Amino acid sequence: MHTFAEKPKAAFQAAPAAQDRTPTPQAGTADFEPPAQALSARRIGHAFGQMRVYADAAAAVREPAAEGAPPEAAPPTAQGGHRTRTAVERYPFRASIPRGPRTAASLLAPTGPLALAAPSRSDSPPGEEHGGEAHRALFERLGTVPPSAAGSSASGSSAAGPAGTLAPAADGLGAPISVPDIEAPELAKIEKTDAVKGAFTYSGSITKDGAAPDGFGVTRSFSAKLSAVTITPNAGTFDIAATFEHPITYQVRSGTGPGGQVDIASATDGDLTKTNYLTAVTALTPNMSDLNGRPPRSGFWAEDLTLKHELVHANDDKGNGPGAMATVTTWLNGKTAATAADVTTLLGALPGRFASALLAALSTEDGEKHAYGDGAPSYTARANAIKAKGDKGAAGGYP
Amino acid sequence: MSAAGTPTPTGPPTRTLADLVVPRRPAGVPLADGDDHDARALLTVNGYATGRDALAGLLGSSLAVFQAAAARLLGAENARGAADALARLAHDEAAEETARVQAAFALTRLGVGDGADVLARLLALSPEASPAPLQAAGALARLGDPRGFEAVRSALGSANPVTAVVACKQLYAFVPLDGLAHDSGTARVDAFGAYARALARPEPNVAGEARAQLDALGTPPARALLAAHPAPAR
Repeated sequence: MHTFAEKPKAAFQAAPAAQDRTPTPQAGTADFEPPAQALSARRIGHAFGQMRVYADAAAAVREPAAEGAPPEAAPPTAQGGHRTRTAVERYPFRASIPRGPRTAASLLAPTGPLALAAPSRSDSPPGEEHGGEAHRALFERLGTVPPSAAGSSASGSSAAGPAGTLAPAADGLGAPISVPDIEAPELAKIEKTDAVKGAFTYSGSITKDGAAPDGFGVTRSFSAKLSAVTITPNAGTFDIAATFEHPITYQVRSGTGPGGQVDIASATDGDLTKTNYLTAVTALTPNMSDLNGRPPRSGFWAEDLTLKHELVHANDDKGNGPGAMATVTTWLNGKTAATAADVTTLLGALPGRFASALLAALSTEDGEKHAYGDGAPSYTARANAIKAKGDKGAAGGYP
Repeated sequence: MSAAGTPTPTGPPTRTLADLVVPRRPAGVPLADGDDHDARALLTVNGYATGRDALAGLLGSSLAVFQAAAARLLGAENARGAADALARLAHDEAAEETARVQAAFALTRLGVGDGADVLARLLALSPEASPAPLQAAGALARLGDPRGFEAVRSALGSANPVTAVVACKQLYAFVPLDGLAHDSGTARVDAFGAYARALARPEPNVAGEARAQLDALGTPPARALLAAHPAPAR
């Protein structure tokens, strides 16, 4: 005979010890091959809300998962190789409860080793358990008698005594009484989670690559990927190690500028003539009142100096890389996960968050001021050399 | 530029972070308009139209940088028809916080919803784990609410230079609030004290950002700080 009072106890009895991650013999439908690598199956705890407590233990049999449907194989994890299947575990359950006039409240109150206040989970350090307070609040709430239950008898009949009292049945000895499935949907959402600890090695690189820009040059700094990822489940944590790759590319136009500007590679460039060299001088002379030295580049530009400019940006962005990585690592380390698959999902968010952090750290004007300021002496030197040569006129100047 | 003055994209839309191009802010953009300008430039350069329907569609982008930029512009353009979509993004806890900040700020510019409350909640997150709390502080300051000042001031002392530069980028928004109480006690906004902290940072980009803002402000206190902290060679 069963009463509603058994619900919390049944849930606790079915829950494996927090440290016990070994499948029980009853959980025969779970396939952990090899156990040491079955990371994605390491969801601690059970879907309590889906676990049924049968009124008649004789009817309780272990059934195939998903009501006869074969369990689906999960895709390989980052480690590859192992297979994981999902199983719904069903346990035979039988219990005997002495009959007697007790109040519903006293029936539901936790006692003995199952007391709710007893510490039961220990594989996460204090403060790192996800939903610890939620567990407590939920179980405490379940430990109170809802009005409907308080007003009902254990058999569900109308033979209840005074409100809050579960009157024993006076007749029907030996006749099983069926009651509806006892479920607690809220409990299905509870899972044991472990802290995530990421430790990454930053690996930034700068290469000349990528599509030609619309403007003079471009630096692409917002891509990232994790390589050599290992996820190690330890007591209370998933420890993650990886290389955080930050490939920065830069590219400039080749030959002609975006407005048809002619590339002037040096003072001896063949495109310079006695009639255009002063225009080239003006085009390549830095305007120190514009972003700390941006040359107007009207009609002429310098591909090689543009490359230097983009390299300044690339190096600045690379300088922000470790900090942006630290930001996303802090975010990751504030998370918890139940399985390695959960960890993988969290890791998948890192490149986008890294880009957001880099973008947030991008300077307003200072970046351009730095890059143009860095290039100003080179532009000045080239403009001066062109003028000096051109001013020679027929005696060594331009044709 | 289009005839209406709206830049038009010239290439196919950027789909991956590897192809993302972030245009540098040109000289002369007023500080108060800078983020709006940057958002529009980001979308345009990466091949996205900036009409209201297109922006509303981008709120569902898989890349938070585009979500944030679209949200920013929808607020700037007073696109009230996008209020519901902005509210969904602002409250979407699965979305990146940087996008949520911009969606919440957009709601405040539209004058609908609870954007300021969302900003206040995002302000409570760790600035070491996301730029969003500091951006929320700046957004609240733009609304005349100085409550994020201490978070910004404190972040200027972060061991992470990225945290510090994100904090520094918010400072201009606190200048109009200088001297206001920013908590229930007697603490007051000291925007130029915060600039001094930024200028004292060893990282050139943090001090450079502070210097660029002070230069743009051009007020006597700003000029005094610049004179006291001349730019070092980089």
